[in-house]
Amino acid sequence: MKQKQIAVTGAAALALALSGAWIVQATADETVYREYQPMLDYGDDPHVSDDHTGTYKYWKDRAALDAAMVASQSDQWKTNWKFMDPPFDQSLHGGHLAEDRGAFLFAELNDNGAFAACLGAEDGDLTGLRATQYPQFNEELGRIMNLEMMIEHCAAEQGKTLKHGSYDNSAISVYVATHSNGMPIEIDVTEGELKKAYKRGQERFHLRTGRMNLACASCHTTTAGERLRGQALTTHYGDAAHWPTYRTKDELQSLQVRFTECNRNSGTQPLQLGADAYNDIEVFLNALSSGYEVAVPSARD
Amino acid sequence: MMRSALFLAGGLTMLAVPFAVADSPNSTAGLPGNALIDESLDVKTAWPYPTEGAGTYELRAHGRDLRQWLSLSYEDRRGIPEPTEVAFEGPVNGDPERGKEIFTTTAEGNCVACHYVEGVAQTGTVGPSLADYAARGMPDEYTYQMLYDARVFYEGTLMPPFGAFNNLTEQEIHDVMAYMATLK
Repeated sequence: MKQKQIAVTGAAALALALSGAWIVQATADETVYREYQPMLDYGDDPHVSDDHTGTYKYWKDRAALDAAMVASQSDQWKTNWKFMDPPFDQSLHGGHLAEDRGAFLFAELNDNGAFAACLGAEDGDLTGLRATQYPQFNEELGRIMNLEMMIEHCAAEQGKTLKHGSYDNSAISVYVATHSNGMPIEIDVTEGELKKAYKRGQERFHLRTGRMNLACASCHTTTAGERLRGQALTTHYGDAAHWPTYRTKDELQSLQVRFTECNRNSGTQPLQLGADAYNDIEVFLNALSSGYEVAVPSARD
Repeated sequence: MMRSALFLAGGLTMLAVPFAVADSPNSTAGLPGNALIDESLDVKTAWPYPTEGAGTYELRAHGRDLRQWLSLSYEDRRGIPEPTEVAFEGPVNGDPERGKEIFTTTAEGNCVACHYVEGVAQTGTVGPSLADYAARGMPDEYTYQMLYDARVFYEGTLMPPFGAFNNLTEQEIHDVMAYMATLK
């Protein structure tokens, strides 16, 4: 590990990420070699319109997608898959069944109103909960909580097991999110714990890992628009507003279940759902969806 | 003939196990505690399948054990191999049929994820087309280094360092080279 070795802290690593490869300090007394995708300039107060691929104008309004672009093999990626979100996609798919299941389970759990209150609803009103409250830094629990983690936590208080990532948990998440449909995501990452999580999430998103030495950013920054195993790569801006989603291969996925699939597809050992790194990436992606409207139930190939 | 060859290979693998443990390709040294694994599965690297109408998920085995490589966990203190220059010990001694399998199989080389070759569905455009690679007359030394660790030539490249990362074996790299020699 030679003369070019430089030991840097996590914060300095972030600042240096523009350059790509260097030695990072893994612990106080140990340095290891790691590589990063060059960092984009995400700014301190990101908004979905900052999208680096210049495609935001095509998918900004889901109701007004260009049908010809949606049907075009070469240009479809520019619509960022929003043609599978409502209101553009009005077809009946597994996401709708999940919503119904979620409504049923919610009613069952919320018999005395405690479940909704635990999730943060005032007077049982779920309006805006997904769009404005999650993911959050929960002072009481002392950690980042996404909606699915909170559903698991609050269900446990009612004596019911609804694991983060399970179908029933995600079904309730879809149902709760329907009460934010049409509302832009608001997440303040300019201060406090969410700011720290946002910065950490950037670092994780650009860290190259796994047997293929790829970062999340390897596929979603410079190569957006290219094809990977036949599928067009898209921007990571505006990508947090339609979860959990119904995958047409017949699977209801929460965002972090998708992370485990992204990891596997790129040859990286997945983490347990709710791992700190996944939570930070979820905060980061939500910040890049700031100002973008929630739209569920959605589907994706 | 084929069957007995496979049987022999299986027997050799079993014999080799005690000696392979020290630098086992599936070494779990440094694996973080929050990796998603299931010791009861044949392949320990697991993924969560959300069974419909259930409050728990099923853990299923991934197509390849990924525990030996760096993950996204903050608890993961491992580094990665630095760019590694290698000398090619020729000649190419590989099986082009096996090379094509490695080239096109997701859990192996998965080269077609990024590269176009004729006759394979669902190829990619992230890397250059290799449809006529053999016709370009690139020296074997170059091709070998590109497969072993392309970072030596191209800093920041997305091309995975298959050899340096213990992702493909020496023989598998030779097999891929033998297949690539047919691309023209």
